[in-house]
Amino acid sequence: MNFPIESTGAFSFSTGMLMTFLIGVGFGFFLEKGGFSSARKLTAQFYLRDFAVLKVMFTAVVVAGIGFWGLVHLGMLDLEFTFINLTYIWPQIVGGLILGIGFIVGGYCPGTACVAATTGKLDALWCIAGIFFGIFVFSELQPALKAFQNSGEMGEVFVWQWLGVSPGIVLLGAVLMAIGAFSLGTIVENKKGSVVQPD
Amino acid sequence: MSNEKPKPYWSPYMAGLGLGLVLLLAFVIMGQGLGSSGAFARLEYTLLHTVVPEHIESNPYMAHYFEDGANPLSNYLVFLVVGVLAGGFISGITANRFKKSVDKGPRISVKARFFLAFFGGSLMGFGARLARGCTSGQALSGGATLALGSWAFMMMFFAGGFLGAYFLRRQWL
Amino acid sequence: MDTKIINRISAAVLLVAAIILVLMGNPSRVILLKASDDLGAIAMYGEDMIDPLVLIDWIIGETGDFIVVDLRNPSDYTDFSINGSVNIPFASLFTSEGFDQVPTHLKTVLVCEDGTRSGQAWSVLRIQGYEAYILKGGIKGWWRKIMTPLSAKELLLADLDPAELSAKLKAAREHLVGGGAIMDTPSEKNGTPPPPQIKSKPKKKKKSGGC
Repeated sequence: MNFPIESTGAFSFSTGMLMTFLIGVGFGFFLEKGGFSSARKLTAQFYLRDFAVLKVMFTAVVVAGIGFWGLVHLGMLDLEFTFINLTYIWPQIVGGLILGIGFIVGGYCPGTACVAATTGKLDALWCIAGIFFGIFVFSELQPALKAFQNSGEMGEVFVWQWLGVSPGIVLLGAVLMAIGAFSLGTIVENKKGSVVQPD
Repeated sequence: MSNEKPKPYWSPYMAGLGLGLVLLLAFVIMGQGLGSSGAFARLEYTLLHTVVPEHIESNPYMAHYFEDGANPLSNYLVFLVVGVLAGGFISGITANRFKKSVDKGPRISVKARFFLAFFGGSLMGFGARLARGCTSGQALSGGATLALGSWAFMMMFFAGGFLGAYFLRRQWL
Repeated sequence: MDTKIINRISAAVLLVAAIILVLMGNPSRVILLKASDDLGAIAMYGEDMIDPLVLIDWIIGETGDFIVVDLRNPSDYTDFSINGSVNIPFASLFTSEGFDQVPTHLKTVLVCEDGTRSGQAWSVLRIQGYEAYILKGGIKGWWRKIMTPLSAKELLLADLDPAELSAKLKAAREHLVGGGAIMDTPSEKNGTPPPPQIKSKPKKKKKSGGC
């Protein structure tokens, strides 16, 4: 098998976009199922009351990561045709921090704001409006911020390369960390009885 | 809308497993991960381009999206986010969770919540553009591919959340 | 109670999968496995070769994004070699130890007697995904073109003005022999590759992404 299928030219652009739409449906569906349409549930992570954000995100990262690197190892997934986030370390560190602060202020992240809006959350609409505004501000200022946005460029580099180990070791570490963090989180949740459910 | 009680959310592990498999599928089929803020930007640039085309063309960062007569909306991320809207709606409505409401803690007014949602959104729009991705594009997708910068992003995202949490407890608790 | 068991089984499955991945080791070869169909085209258009006059530009420019691999016997290598090159004899290149000495993220310039062995190594390295080049004419070509050109006329193929070319070659020899840092660093001579700093090379990416 040759993955990504799209790179083999097996389907047309419109078929590809139909598939993309369906992938998006899956994405939105599971986000909502995990409770990511509720700002209170999302932000409860940062008050150590509900560990859904950590659990959902880390489970997804580990599952997809093991599948991804497994396919790479088997020679089935061609990295040459796969988009890997390029590393620009400084803007990513600063951008991540700004996003984290924006998340606790706004209550959603861009993807979850969409999902929240579709379940009738009016605050999510304001959040989306804010995202548009923030993008506008950045885009207007980008010529001035360009140097910083391109700083710390390291290209396509993986955590395991940086650590000098194999991808399996990083993923094993991630699984062990996840199991530990999830167990601790569950103990805290049960003690406080604070898992957020829809009302 | 039904009057039945909303169903509880799934176990986070099951939702995470589903999300992880969708993410893997995105890589296997389309060769890219999931993302959303890029779609926002593309929609915004397209709208701005119809209103003030000269201004957009004069900013290389935005003009880049219109190079060679390209349509920014004819893009993977845009279709993906349309799907996200549909998927979220399907899941919400079938679980009786669709409800016109404002999600906030009891100690804050609706107006203040709207203001903070807008302000937080602005920060996120700015940060996502700066970092070349948001929670889904960097932390989730980049996290799974083990991209170094995305892991740095993920750590800083959580750090930012915990950092701000103390000051915003009135909004949520 | 049931969900607890399911969670534990899921965790165990993920753990086992991760351990299997660990046992699979490092995928550096697999990662870079590219389609080899375009190899023919590369060779046809001569893009597999690098002229000594180009290599000298790289060396003087100290771009740090390439490594020169000398495939000759150690004795020949000690006799004369290109400054900063690394000796991996042809016979030992196709062992896993040999391969591991060739950094994956650098352009690899292959040097042999006259270019024949380099050509053989080139195909294998390219299929494995290395960005490899053959030094045109091998060490002989290097010697004749860079070290001992009798006259610039001899090199008219280089599309350069003869005077300009003479000046360039003079500068090159001064750089190579004239007490430059490269000659004085014994570790370079002994075949330690330059520190593998990870450099982004302008790779042709089909995907443009971003969140």
